[in-house]
Amino acid sequence: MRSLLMRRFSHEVLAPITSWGAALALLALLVFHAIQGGALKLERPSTVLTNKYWVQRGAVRHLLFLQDVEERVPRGAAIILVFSPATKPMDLKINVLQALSQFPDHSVIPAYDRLINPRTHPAGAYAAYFGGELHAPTYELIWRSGAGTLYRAKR
Amino acid sequence: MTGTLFLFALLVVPVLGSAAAYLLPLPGLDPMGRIPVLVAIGCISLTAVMVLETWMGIPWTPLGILLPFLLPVVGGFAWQPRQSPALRLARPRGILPAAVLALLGILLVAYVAGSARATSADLILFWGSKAENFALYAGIDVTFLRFPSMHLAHPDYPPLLTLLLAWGSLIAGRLAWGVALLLLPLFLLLAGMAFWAFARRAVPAKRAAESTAVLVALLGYTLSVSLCAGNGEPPLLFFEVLVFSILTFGDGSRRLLFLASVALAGAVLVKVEGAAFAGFVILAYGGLAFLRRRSLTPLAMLASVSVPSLGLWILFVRLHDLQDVYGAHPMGSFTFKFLRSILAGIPKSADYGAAYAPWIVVALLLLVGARRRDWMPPALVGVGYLGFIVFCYMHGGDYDPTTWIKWSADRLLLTPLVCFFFAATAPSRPLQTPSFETPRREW
Repeated sequence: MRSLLMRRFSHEVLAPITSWGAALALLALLVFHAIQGGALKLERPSTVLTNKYWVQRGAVRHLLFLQDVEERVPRGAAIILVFSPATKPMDLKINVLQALSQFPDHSVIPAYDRLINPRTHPAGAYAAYFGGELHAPTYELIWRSGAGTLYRAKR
Repeated sequence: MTGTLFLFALLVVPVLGSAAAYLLPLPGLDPMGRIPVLVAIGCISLTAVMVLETWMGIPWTPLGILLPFLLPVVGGFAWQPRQSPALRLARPRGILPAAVLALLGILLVAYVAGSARATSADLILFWGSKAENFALYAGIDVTFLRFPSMHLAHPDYPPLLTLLLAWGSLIAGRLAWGVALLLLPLFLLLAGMAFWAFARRAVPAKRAAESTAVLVALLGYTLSVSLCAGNGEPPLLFFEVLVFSILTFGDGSRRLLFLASVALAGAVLVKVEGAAFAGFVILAYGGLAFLRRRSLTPLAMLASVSVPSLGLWILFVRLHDLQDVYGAHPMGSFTFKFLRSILAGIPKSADYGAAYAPWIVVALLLLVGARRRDWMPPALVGVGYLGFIVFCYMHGGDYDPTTWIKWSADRLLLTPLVCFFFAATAPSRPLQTPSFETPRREW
C-alpha cells in the first residue's frame, strides 16, 4: 500500500514538477546563451557566422571580404585566391572551402603569391588577396579594403 | 526573394512525401504525426531521385525532379496497399501550458539560429558549398568533390542534407544561407510534433505534452549551445526522435516497424554517425524481440529500408571513387595510445556549458518516473553509441584527438542524450491501443 502511494506520488506529483522545472531551466539557459552571443536585436546579421563565439569570429572578416569580392567580379570569371607562403596548410584549405561557398558562379584557383603565373591562369582572371598585397606586374589593383585587395589580370 | 523561394522549396518537401507515400503501407496517423512522417518520406525520396538522376546522367531541373513523384500517384491507382484510416484520438485536455512552453522554446531557438548565434562553421565549409555547387552543376558534381581541399569536407558524406539544400538552391537560384539556419527550429518543431503525436497514444495527454516541452527545451538548448544551425545534427536528431517515438510509443505493428525503418534510412542518409545509430537500433530492438519471441521479423522490418539506403549510397561513392569516411580510417589507424585523453576529453565536452544540466535533467526524469515497459532498448542504444564515440576517436593514429574531441564530441553526444531521454519517458504500462484495429505486436 505504502509502495503504491509512493509510486503514485512520484508519478503524479514529482514527475510533472521535474518536467516543468527541467523545461524552464533549459529555456532559461537558452536565453542566457542568446545573450552571450551578442546584443539582442531584430536585424539580420552581416554573415551567418556573425556572433560573439570565438570559433566563428575569426571567419567573419574573411567572409565579408569574400562577399565584397563577389560583388566586384563578373559571373563566370576565374578568381585566384592568393595566399602568403606563411599560411598554414590547414588554414589554406579552410579559406578555400569558404571561398567555394561564396563563389559558386566562379572558378576558384588557390595560389601562393610568389608562385602567381599569369600564363597558367585563365584570361581575365581576378586575384583576391585576403590580408595582403600582390606585387605582380601582370595584375592591376582594382579595389582595396582594410581586409584585403582585389586585382585583375592586365589585358 | 531568394529566401522566400528557398523556403517555398523546403515547404514542398512534405507534399513530395505525400506523393511517395501513396505506395507505402503507412499506419494510421493523426495530422500532427502525419506531417513529420511525410517530411521524412519527402526528404528521403527527394534524395533518392536526385542521386538516381545524377547516376543516370540526367541533369537536375525542378520539373525533372518533380516528375518522378507523379509515378507513385499514378501507380497508386493501379495498386495501392491497404491504407489505414486516419487515427482519431480523444481531444487532449490540460495541455495548453506545456504546448505554450514548447512553442516558446521553438520561437526562442528560431531567434537564436536566425541571428547566427548557433551557426555551425560546417555550413560554410561543406554543407552549403557542396549544395550550391551541386545546384549549379545540376547534379552531384564528382569532379568538385575530388578537389583536394574537399578532403576536409568528406567527399563521400551522406547526401540528404546537402541535396535538400541543393533542391532549395535549384528553385531559388542561390543558396539562402539565412534560411538554411532556420532548418534548426524547423526540424526541432518536427521532432516535437513526432514525439507528441506518438507519445499521446501511449501516455496521458498532459504527461505527453509535458515531456514534449522537455524534449524541445533539451534539444533546443543543446543544439544551440553546440552550434548546430546549418549542420547535420538537426535533421539527424529529428530522424532519431521519429524512430524512438515510433518504437517506444507505437503499437509494435509491422506497419510501424516499417515506418521506423524509413526514419532510420533518414538518419543513415544525413550523417555518417546515422549508420551507427541505425545499427544499434536494429540490434537492440531486433535482438530483444528475438530473445523474447524468437522472431526475426522486427530485425528484418527495421533493416528493410535503412540497410539498402546505406548500401546504395556506398555503391554510388565506390563507383565514383569518392571513398573517404566509408573507406576505413580517414584520420589515422586504430590505436589505444590516446585512450586516457579520450576518456577525459569526452566528459569535458558533455557539460554543454551548463554544468551537465542536460544530463542531470535526463537522470532526474529517469529517477522520478514510474516503472517503464520499454526503457531498455533506447538505453542499450545509448550505451552502445557511447562506445561507438570512443571507438571513433581511437582512429586518430599518431594524432592526439583532443582538438578533434573539442570540435565534435558535444554534437556526437546528442544522440545518447536522446536515447536516455526516451528511456526516461517510455510508457509505464502496456499499451491500450486507440487504433482502429488490434495490431499484431511484433516488437
